[in-house]
Amino acid sequence: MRPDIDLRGALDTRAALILLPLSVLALAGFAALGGLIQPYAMEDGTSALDLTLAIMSLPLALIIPMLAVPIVAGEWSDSSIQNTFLQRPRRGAVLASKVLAATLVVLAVLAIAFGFAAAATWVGGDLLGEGATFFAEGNSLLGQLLALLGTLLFSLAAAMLLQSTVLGLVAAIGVPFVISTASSLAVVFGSDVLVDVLRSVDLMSAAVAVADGSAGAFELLPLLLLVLLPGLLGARRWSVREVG
Amino acid sequence: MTTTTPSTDTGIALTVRGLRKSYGDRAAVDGLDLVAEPGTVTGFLGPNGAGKSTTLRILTGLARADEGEALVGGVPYRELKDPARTIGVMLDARALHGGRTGLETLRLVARTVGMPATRADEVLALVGLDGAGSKRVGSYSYGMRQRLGIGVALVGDPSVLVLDEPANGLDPEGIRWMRRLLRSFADAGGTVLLSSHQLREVEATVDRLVVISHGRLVREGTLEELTAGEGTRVSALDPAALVTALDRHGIAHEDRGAGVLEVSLCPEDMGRLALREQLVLTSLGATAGGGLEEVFFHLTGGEEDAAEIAGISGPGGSALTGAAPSAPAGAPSAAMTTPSAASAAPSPAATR
Repeated sequence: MRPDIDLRGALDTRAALILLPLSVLALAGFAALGGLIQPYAMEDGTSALDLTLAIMSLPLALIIPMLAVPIVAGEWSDSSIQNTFLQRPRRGAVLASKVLAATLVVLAVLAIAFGFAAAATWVGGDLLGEGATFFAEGNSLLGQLLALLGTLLFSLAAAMLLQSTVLGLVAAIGVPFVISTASSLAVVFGSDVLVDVLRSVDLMSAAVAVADGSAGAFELLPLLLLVLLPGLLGARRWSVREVG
Repeated sequence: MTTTTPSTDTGIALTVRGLRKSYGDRAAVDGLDLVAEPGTVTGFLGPNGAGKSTTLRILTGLARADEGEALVGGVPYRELKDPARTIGVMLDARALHGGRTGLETLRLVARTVGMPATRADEVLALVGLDGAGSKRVGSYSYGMRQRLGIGVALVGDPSVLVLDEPANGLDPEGIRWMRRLLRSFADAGGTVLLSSHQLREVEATVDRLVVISHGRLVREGTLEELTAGEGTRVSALDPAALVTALDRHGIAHEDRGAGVLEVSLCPEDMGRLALREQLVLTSLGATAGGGLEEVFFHLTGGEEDAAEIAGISGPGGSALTGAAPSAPAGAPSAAMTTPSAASAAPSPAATR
């Protein structure tokens, strides 16, 4: 495995030079929006870290796939995977290396996001408002982190399976959106069967259930159907797909 | 010092044996055998769709064969420990990331293959892109991409070069540069397999030729062998008797009109045959040696069966090494076993 090569390869392109600063700017903006405005919006004039992070999860739901998918699948889209396989013909190692590189980049961005959120919450709560709350009651913080992790895992699985930047992004961004929208509609229409079907592919709901301790075996289904299965199929396709 | 000389003194041959690859019902490669020897530039020639690119992709591990094997120094590409240090490959110049600069592209390759970063600067100068190293590949012309692709192949200082249509997009100066590059590489003991459909380019660059059509080997030999005179033109007072005599001796012939036949014998042998058969010849002379273009079209003609071509067109049969396309998988063809004059021991690698 050479994650150093894939990290460098992912970060030295024009797209990365544009996307990374924009992502950081977007996170800073949403952190400010969440942390600084909270005291003026909340009745008690405080700012809470979990709420700031919840607001930041909106851009992160886009940023995570936009970073992870191109790192894993981008070389298939521009055909440069040909040169990669010529220099590193052990395809399984290349895939593992790219997944590791994408995970490292996303974790770094999540760390930055967390830092922004904490800073904005502190400034908003302690300096501008009536105080900051960093440890929320319940497990909403854990739920948010697990949901972001789920976004990362699904993005990786989509990239592995589809091996195309465009298709991977459409799947990684579109599928969770469609599932969450359909879940809301299913609740409105009161269809228990549809609700259960959608729960079986809803990583976000599963993350929340795991965080609050209510998860059962059913909550493993989204992990199986949206991460493990496409991941395995993608790994298989990665190893046999012809190049050129 | 900048160098294109192969990295090892011991030559590494490329070997393809009984290679078959089908896509659906269509056989892209059909029992192909070929060898590219150290110290030579081997041209891999064939019309579009003949199976050249498929063969090269199998040879370099980018596709898998249905049958047969393609080996680099006796080892499948995917099992090479550090492939880019052994074999430099340029199959598609478009397969370079457009958002990266030329220099960064080479530096990334150098890092991948374990070469120092300075090697990237060396190679950039070597391929004539030192003035464009800071430009993004996306802004390169096709010819510049070709140069960079060749540079990528050279970064690992390999002993073997496999290039697919390297002259595409190159200007005349670039083509001359590439010829010199390949020549010096082979002269220093390196192995070069060069796929192309640009006959003039091939003619000016290669020592040996492998011609394929419909995925099959139709001819292999040195350039001189393939472009040597195609035989003898002869006519007789009694054309029917001439044909009968040729058929009786199993000598291939073609009617060129006006009673003239082209036969696969040298003029001297044709004269002896006429004497023995009591034939009165009205004309006798060697045909002019066909250029590579003529030979190529003759060999790869659409409606002609490749096996027939390989069987009838060799003068005397010994110099030209036609291989039967229907040879069983794994069985080396006669062409493969024919030593090439150009595959003699190479001169020692130049100092770097």
